[in-house]
Amino acid sequence: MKTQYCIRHLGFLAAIFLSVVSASADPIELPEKPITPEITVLISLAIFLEVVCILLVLRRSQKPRFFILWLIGIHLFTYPAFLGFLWLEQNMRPAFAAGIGEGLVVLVEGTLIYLICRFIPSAKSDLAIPSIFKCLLASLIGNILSAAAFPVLIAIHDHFAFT
Amino acid sequence: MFIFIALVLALGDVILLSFPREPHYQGRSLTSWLQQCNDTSLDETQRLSEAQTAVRAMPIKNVLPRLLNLVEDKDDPVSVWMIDKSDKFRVQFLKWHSAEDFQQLGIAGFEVLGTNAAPAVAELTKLLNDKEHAFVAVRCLIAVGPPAEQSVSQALTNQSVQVRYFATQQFAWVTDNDEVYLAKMRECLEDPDGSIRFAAVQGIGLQTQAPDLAIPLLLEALRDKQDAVASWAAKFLANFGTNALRAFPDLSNAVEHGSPNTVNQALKTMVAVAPDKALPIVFENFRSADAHRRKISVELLNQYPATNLEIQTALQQSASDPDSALARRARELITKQYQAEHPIESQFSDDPSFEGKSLGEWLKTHDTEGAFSENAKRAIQQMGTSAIPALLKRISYVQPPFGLRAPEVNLDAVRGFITLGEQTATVLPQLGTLMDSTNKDTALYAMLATLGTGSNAMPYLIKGLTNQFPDVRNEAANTLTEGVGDKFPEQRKQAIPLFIKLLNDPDDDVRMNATNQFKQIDPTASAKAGIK
Repeated sequence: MKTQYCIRHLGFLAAIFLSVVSASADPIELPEKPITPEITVLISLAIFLEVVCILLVLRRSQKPRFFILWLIGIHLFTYPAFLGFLWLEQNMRPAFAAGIGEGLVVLVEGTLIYLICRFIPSAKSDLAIPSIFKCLLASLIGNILSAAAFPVLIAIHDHFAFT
Repeated sequence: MFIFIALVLALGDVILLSFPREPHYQGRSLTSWLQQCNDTSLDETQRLSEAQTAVRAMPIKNVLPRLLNLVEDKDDPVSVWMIDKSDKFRVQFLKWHSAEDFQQLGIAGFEVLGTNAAPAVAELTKLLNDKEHAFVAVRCLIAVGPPAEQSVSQALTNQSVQVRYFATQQFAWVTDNDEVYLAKMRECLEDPDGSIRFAAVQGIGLQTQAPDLAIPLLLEALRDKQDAVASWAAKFLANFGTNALRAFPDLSNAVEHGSPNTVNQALKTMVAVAPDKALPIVFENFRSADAHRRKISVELLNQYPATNLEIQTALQQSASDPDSALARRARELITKQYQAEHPIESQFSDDPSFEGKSLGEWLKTHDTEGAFSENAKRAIQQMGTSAIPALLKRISYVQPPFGLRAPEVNLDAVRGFITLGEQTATVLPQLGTLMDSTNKDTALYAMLATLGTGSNAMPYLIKGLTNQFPDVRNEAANTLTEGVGDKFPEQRKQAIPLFIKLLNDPDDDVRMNATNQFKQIDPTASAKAGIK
């Protein structure tokens, strides 16, 4: 019963988030080719750094088993949603669109982390469940780190790709 | 707790929705329609008109702020980086716009709206003081038209040369008043930058409906220190016809003291405006020690009626001018006159005819590829051997009186001989003799004329490999490799020793060609000769 309640609320939250998407819909050409493998590797590395950072921030909090997999799983939803948002907001300045998108990602990821820690059974029950603020903070720090690391990773890639 | 989370997300939603919303038409945003306007070429009228109609159909009070927003867009380092990386990693589904792209869309919008965008003039005028946006602003103001006259006039004195140049060049779009226009152009003629004075002269030169206002300005420009400005002023004076007679003394002065282009244009204008009055000045320049002045004079003398004996004598003299380029040009002009007086048909009056058309007329009927219709082929073949003397005459034809080249006539003969096919065999010895001519064209075309005779042409192509002219040797090697020679490989074998000799030909092109073709004809022999 509790799980059903939880899913219903997740659906409600997704609807709020996605309402922005439908409101900004514009007929734009569909993608022609997949993203090149190089950038996929760089994005994966940036996400991995973010996940590690969140784990560190929440190390003294109650977490479910295989929390790292849950965090990676979250990105399977938030990253495509982020790209979708950028796609829909191509008429904005790129920096502005990315900034808003990242902000939304911080909110959604923080919330999902909180829900996961709160409702998925934990391995160590003696630790305290993290507060929503702590989860949002973890998400914020993780995303800042990953956003900052991404250009560095690209610079490293460029260095090796062109030497 | 859920209420809290919902509030946080709803807040994000509200932030997004509170961004200035674009006007829409038929479900598409203004930016999307502007993109269509900008991307569509002028010949796709329907697609362009659809986008323009859409932009005009949206409420102007909503459209103008968005257009201004686009025009005012600025690049930031993060966006520039993102655009660069998206391109580099071929992230094709993200089509970011740079500030320049957005500004271009804004300009497209103002171009569509025209005078309807007048309420935006004040905002655009403010942008003229912003270095980064002044050029975009002036482009938009020009698009607005007459309501922006004051603002564009202000742009004529902008600190940016690019803005001043564009405003000068386009000022006619924002004013219908000749007096205002020319008064502004007079100010531009005093601009320290030559490109702006040049743009002003071009504008003034087109005002032929106001000669009293425009000619004094052009005379002012004729004294400009920059050759391009002065020469164009001289050139434009010719557009004013007899109204420009008053400019004669100034033009004469420009011929005397001007720089090369100005002298050239001033003389041309004088001849156009008052040919008789200009003739003594043209003669004076014809006798000049300066080859450039002599050359201009020869060109101008050629424009006078051919009946003037003094002019004809001068032209004949210039055919032996010490300046070889001038002498060549004079010979070309005299030849042209000669051909006008003696049409080519009159030089081949003994041509045979078929079905009421002379051989010359049939030879002219080829298409752009040089191929004859079935009818023309039949006519030439029917004329048969009776056409041969006329074709031989054409093969060695040069233009009188100086013997200039006439490749079109020569090629007509080549086509005629090839069409005659085996019938040409009777004159092969004569064509062989012509191949030894001291005229390169005659030697080349005589060899080509043998090509219709099949295997009979082979000895002549082989002979061509040792011709004194590199072009003939080259063409012989080409034809033996890929043309007729390819059909008679046994006979071609006789040419192999000559191909080996061509590998040491003094002419670079012949050597290179022979090397490649020899490899193609006989890879084994060429390998033995040391070609890799």
